[in-house]
Amino acid sequence: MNNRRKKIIIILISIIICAGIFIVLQGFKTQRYTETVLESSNIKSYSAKEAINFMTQYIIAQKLMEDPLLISITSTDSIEKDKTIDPGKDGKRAAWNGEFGDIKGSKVIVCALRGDIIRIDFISEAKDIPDNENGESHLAIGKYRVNDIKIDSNDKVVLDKIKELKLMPGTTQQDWIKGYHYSIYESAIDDSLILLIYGISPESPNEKGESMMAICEFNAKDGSFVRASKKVGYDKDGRSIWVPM
Amino acid sequence: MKKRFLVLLVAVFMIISLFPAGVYADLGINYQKQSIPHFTISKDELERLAWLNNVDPQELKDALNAGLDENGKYSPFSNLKQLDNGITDEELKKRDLLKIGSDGTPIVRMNPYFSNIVPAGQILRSNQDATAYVAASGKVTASGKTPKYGMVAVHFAGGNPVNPVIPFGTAIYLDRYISLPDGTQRSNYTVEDTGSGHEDSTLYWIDLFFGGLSNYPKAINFGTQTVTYNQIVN
Repeated sequence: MNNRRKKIIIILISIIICAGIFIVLQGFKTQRYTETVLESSNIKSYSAKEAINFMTQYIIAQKLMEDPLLISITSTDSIEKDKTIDPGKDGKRAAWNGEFGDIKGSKVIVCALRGDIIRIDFISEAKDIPDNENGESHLAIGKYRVNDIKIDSNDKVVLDKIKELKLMPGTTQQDWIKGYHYSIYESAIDDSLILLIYGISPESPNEKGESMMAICEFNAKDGSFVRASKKVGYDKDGRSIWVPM
Repeated sequence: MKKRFLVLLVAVFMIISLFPAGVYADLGINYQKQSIPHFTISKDELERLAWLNNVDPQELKDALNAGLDENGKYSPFSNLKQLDNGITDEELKKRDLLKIGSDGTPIVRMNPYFSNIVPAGQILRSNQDATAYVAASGKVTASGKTPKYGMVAVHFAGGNPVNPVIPFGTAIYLDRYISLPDGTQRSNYTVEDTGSGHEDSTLYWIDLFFGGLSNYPKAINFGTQTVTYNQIVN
């Protein structure tokens, strides 16, 4: 009888400890989200469309391409002096990489924006490709002008969706990004133009202490919300498991 | 009776606590329903492919027949070790130039302007393994994007798939133009995914996205290549 009582007490204590750990972890996550400090920008930052505009104007001014059309653009952490807290919280980032091409696929330019600095990282021309005498080879084709993009990374609908989904900025060493990131690119699956927002899942870290990212997609051609997904863990081979948010 | 009930209760609680609730949600993607079509390859063609890529023909055959991995990817050469027969990187690069696509045009054209002297802010990654993969519809990259041409996967470090050896979003510029299945030639790529090439593959191995599953012959023709590229670091 004593043994039985002892076992019941051990089981009850185990349940209380597990519940306690769960509650503490939940509390930690909530605290992490609400304590996010508003950014104090110390470097020039741009929305996605502002960055595209800036880059295209620069490419034209440098006489590198007459009518540069967007292939893709993405914000990046690659800027050493950016000390902004939660960069991207207002939909703007200081560092962007943009890929532009012409309508014929004869030239591709990769442009990098880093705060006040803009530079050309890469230029490729189809005429320089060996064995291209017949002109059968072409590069990636630029397709989009800034006016074709109906939604910007700092639009209210985007920032509201981040709040609604409780996407967190990357803040810790384990998070794979700093703050929020944005990308506009054409999907190879269905040719849709996507504005992608990266953040950290409100349920991150998971029970193993791993940082879990989350994404949210808008159709950049009409501004409609497409989907949001969060990572919840990894399978036995280390591959990520995603679920809708 | 009460004891059994309590033990059962604790067992259920423990099982539930091991998995987050989200794991049970369904993304609506069943990679198992998608597959590489059954295809045959002649012995001569198999041996030519094995020679071009310096791999064992039988291992190549097994890799080609392996089908999709659990993540909906087909990258037959990424897990295939090259033979240790003393062939130099330069010889392998020459063989890369002999690879022909199904349309009869070269898969690789060297970039005449590529330089091993890199400007500030870039790192040279010399003689790295490169393979190609196709992906099932619905697959997203480790960085969360729907894949597109110009994206590559790299190794991940420390057992963490979101800790790539080259950060996501990093631009890289190859020493060659690759003919992609969409008909374009490309030498600039962006790191957006992680993968698990075999343990002997080079540290900065890249796996190029080659589109949907129907492009599997193009990924096979690409094989494994020895590339040099510049990585932008800031």
